[in-house]
Amino acid sequence: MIRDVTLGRYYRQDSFVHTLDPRTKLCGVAFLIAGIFISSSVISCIFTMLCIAALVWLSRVPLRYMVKGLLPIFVFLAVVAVLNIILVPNGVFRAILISLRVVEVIFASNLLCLSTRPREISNGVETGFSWMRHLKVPVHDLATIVSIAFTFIPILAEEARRILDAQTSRGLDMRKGGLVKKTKASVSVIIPMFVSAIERAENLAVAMESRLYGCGEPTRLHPLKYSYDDAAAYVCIFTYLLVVILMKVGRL
Amino acid sequence: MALIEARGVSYSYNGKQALSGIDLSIGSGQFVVVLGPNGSGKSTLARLLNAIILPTQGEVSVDGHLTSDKASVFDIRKTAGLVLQNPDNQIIGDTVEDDIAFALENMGLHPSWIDSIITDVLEQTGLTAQRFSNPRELSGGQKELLCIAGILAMKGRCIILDEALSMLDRENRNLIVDLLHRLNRENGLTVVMTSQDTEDALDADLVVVLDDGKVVASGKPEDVRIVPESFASSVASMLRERNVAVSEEVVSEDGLLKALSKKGAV
Amino acid sequence: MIELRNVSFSYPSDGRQQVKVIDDVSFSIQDNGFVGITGKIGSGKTTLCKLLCGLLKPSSGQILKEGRVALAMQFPESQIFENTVLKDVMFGPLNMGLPEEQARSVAEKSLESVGLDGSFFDRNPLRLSGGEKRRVALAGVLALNADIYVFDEPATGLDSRWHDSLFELLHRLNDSGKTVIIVSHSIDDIAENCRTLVYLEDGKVADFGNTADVIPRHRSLETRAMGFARRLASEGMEIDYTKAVTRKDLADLIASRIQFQG
Repeated sequence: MIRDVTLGRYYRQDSFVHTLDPRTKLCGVAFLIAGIFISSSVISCIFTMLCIAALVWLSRVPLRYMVKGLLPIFVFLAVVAVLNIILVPNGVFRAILISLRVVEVIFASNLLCLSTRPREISNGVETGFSWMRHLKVPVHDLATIVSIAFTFIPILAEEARRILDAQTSRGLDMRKGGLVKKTKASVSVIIPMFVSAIERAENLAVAMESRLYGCGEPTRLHPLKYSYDDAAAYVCIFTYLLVVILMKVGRL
Repeated sequence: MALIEARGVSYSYNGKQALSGIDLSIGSGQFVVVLGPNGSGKSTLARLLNAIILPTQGEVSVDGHLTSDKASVFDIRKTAGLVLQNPDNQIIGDTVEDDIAFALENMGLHPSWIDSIITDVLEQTGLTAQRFSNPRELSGGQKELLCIAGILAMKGRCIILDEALSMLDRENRNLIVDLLHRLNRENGLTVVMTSQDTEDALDADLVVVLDDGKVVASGKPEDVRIVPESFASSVASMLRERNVAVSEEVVSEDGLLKALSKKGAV
Repeated sequence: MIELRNVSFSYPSDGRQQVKVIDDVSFSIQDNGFVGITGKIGSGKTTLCKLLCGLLKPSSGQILKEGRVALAMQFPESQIFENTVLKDVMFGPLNMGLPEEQARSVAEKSLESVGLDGSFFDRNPLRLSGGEKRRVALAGVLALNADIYVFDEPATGLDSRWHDSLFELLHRLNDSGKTVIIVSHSIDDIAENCRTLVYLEDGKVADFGNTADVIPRHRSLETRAMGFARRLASEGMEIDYTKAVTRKDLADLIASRIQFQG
């Protein structure tokens, strides 16, 4: 049984955000993150938070999925916050700002990943940057690499689990021993992972060649097409960033 | 002219001789099984036929094109598609239709054309209902069918399967072997299957037995002494041990049934 | 001896409802048994293996064991990582706390028992053939010197040469007093080798008992030999196909039928 270990996986849903062209969403996330870091006053931060909240609501994805990825960061955030409070003048405000920004960035990236299939994301990147072909940048190859990486993460994760189980049943105990022993212990999982990953890579390369990868300019089964929804979304995206920049400039 | 020919083919890498002196001739529409134990060179042969690797000696030609001819490589791979052993290492798409589309997208076909080919191929392989499913959620047998579908989509004349069935249970194996035979009979698809399982060879037009990189036997299943024993031949030898005379030529269940009915037992 | 009492195992499938993989399973395996566990894909066989060896704890119910259990997973050769065969097999005994000298001799004995002699000890296991790697991996499990061994699909991917020698190894193990439990999707392998059969369906025990008794009770467990016997019967031969579980049984039946006819 494959347990999904993707970094924010796709959640099937029927929502405005889900049906947007991935290029729109990529652009949106980029602008949103820019806005997150530009917002440094109380009002602009609240504005950004409200916009994010609106997006989360529009995406109709349950909150508990949005919040994934926050837990491991929590400790890091706490440390950063404490350091800021202690060491930096006006530290409390900075601490809050930094923590808030990290949380918002996680929400933003979760918004993207939960509403867009990995293949769509790489399609979006590829189509969006396809003009770079003329600059001799291998856009298609790079996009293929990314989408294959996404596809294989759960498979590699399951393989790691299997190997760990096998070594555990041979008495491996990752909790015992100091750093040296633990490192040696992890070798028993890392090496088989490498061996298996290389074999998979060879197989995959053969399979791709066999299916004519690289024989010419590829087309796409579902070419990306903008709709009116995307136009509306772009207007909102640009407006958001404009407002945030104006707030910054006007020292609001 | 044969569809696929290998003349004096040898292949070695890292000082290891994987294949030596292979001569093979596969006609269009034949169902060929290449038998041999692990390490006999079957996978190497499959990759040579698909122009993935080039022979260190001799030459391989597919539909008249030499595999060493760089300009023909893609035509060769379209004509004779290769399916490998582990479906997990071949499936790229997020959905079944995305995965089948891979070869077609690479060929630069128009989306609507790709769409209709996918519909056809899904019907051929019985995967129509899974068109939008995530391939990771499919069963082992279905994943294998998906890999085959991806190759059938190229509308080539031949399909090469490298031990593609060895990880499946008997039910799924039979399902896929039946499909391959059907495509072979009805569409004239040439099938080349490498396998370690004798049973696969019993219904073939041509059996090629490899051992240690060399062809040790080649011909019709009845004419070739196939080691290891099939189910029927092992039962036949047990019967001989029990003083029931059964011809040594019995290799298939049908053959055994015939032999027993001759004895008046049925 | 292993006994399962009302064992269930569910796995929390992220957020959504729990998946009950093993559902209220109870059976017991005596010492020195040779047991086959079979069932369709998804019936819970691999999870059951992990429960038997302790890699997983049951969500409810009890597992009582007398003796140590060792598990060889599917494609065990993927666990190989050391640069010599001997070192890889020593991994288990060393983890169990044996001093190096003892671990070495246990590993050597274990390798010899799988048919790999001294010439293999210093070779790089990753460069061996598939069948040899499988043996190294199995030696690594045997070196744990357990009382009960569980093998998850030990024969997959092996050609018939290795397949036969694998089962010879399992029988040797069983003859030496160990309990051998195998999971296999091949009912023929189980019929020809195991005395006891556990038939899993959807995580429940659909049947359990002597292989020769359980198999005829379920159409889905029909062996190749039975299928052929059924065919013979339908062509007019008077044999009881339910008695033809193994090829040997089939040959005996046919032979006695023919001799009876004179």
